[in-house]
Amino acid sequence: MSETIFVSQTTQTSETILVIDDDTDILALLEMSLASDGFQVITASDGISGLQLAKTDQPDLILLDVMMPQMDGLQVIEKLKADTETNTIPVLWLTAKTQTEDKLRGLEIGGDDYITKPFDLREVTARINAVLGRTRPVKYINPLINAMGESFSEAGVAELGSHLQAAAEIQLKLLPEKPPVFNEFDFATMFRSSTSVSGDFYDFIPLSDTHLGVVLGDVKGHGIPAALLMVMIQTASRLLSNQSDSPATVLKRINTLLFHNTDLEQFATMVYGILEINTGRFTYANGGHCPPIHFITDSGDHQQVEESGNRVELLETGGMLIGAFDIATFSSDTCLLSPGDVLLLYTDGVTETEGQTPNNYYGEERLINCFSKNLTLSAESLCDVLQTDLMEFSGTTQLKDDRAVVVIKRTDTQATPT
Amino acid sequence: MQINLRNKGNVIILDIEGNLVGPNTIALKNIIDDQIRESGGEPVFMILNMERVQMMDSSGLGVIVAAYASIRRNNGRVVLLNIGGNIRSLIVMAKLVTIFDRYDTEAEAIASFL
Repeated sequence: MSETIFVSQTTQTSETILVIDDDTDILALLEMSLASDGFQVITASDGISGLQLAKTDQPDLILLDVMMPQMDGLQVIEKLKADTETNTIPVLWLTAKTQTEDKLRGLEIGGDDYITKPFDLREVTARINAVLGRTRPVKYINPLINAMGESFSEAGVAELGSHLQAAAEIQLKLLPEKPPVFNEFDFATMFRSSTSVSGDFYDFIPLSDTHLGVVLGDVKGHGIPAALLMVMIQTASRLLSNQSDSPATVLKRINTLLFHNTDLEQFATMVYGILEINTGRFTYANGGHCPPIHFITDSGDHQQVEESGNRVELLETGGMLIGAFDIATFSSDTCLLSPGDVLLLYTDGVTETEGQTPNNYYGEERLINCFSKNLTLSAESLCDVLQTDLMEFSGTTQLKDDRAVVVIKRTDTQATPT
Repeated sequence: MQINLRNKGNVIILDIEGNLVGPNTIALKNIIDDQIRESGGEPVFMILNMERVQMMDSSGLGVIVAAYASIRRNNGRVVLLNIGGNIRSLIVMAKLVTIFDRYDTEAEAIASFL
């Protein structure tokens, strides 16, 4: 049995500092001090292993000792600057030498600042923060430079920005501008994107005068790749919904299409349902999506789930998430919306909204409570109440995930045909 | 996030610590991809020990779904060990209970490969 082989580097938001110094006391001191300031610290006691760590761990900043045996600091920085993988990492010199000549040479060759030993630990932190403050934007823009290659220029970036904006506009246009209008039903939607383009989507597809297709889903990930896949799913669902009366069949076909045309990791979760306007019957299939919630306001004989004193039905029937497995099978089910009932379809950006304490999420229970107390309100007001409750819970209007919500309320007072 | 890699016989065990959410999941993806590459097409037998994972989102689910698919392609198998309530409900919601075998002890998980 072989034991621990490696530990992956942190992927937390804190920044990583690599300290290269042959004096192990200094390494230990800086490691302790910088860690207590919230940095991730990695250390090397010679230039060669320091270079290696710089390449593999991609630190945000390197503290580099000038005087070291074998490979000294000046040789290390020359190699750092000659390598495209490391040449943008800022370097702060640690030097016992106080001669101006050394300082200048260090800066000329690529160091960003220097600290003279013996040093004050607060000064080290302050200088690190000063350098990181200058270099952070450079770090953020590096992936962009790499992706754009030769087209990286002021004009190129401006063009990319306008394309991104155009993509966001196209995507918004693909979403129904207004919810459909029927006498018997009240519709409202909420759509918010954490980035300029989103992986969440919803759609209303008129199938006949009395039948309305309702789609809500979430493509894994964010940004342009998710948005492109979302457009594909939306187009497919608009076309396929007219070819079959069975939501399960529609999901199965979308699944096959996605499976054969995307990477393994790309998938979506979605709900597709057909609402019969005359009867309130909602026939649906759920492809691995968080279950829509049916809030029951009368004492009809639906299958009921007791949840914090409110009667709700979770629409779980369906099959696996969409696009990952060729073998996925789906089934449909029906729920009956009686007058006054509310059906809520949403993406996990709602329930995964983070609270103000760690590992505290909005969750399905709070969502159910939020709606249950307000079922007499209109669909639009229910969206507003939810929006307010989410803001109250998270203490912020900033989004980490995309959010899409569709609220359907049956407003007619006629007796429901059975 | 921290990932520790162990081998027991021909079974690879990844002990995962931290939340499998958003960009955090890339580290896990890279490690799994490396193991598949190093196997040179031979079947990979892998246990993902999730005892210290409290939260997983769709990105995390994407990584384990992709791992399942690419390991399966070479007749290997990946199983989940010690998954907590949050992750269990995500897997149930995504209707993946039939895809991922789940075990509560390492011994059971290893025995499942014999």
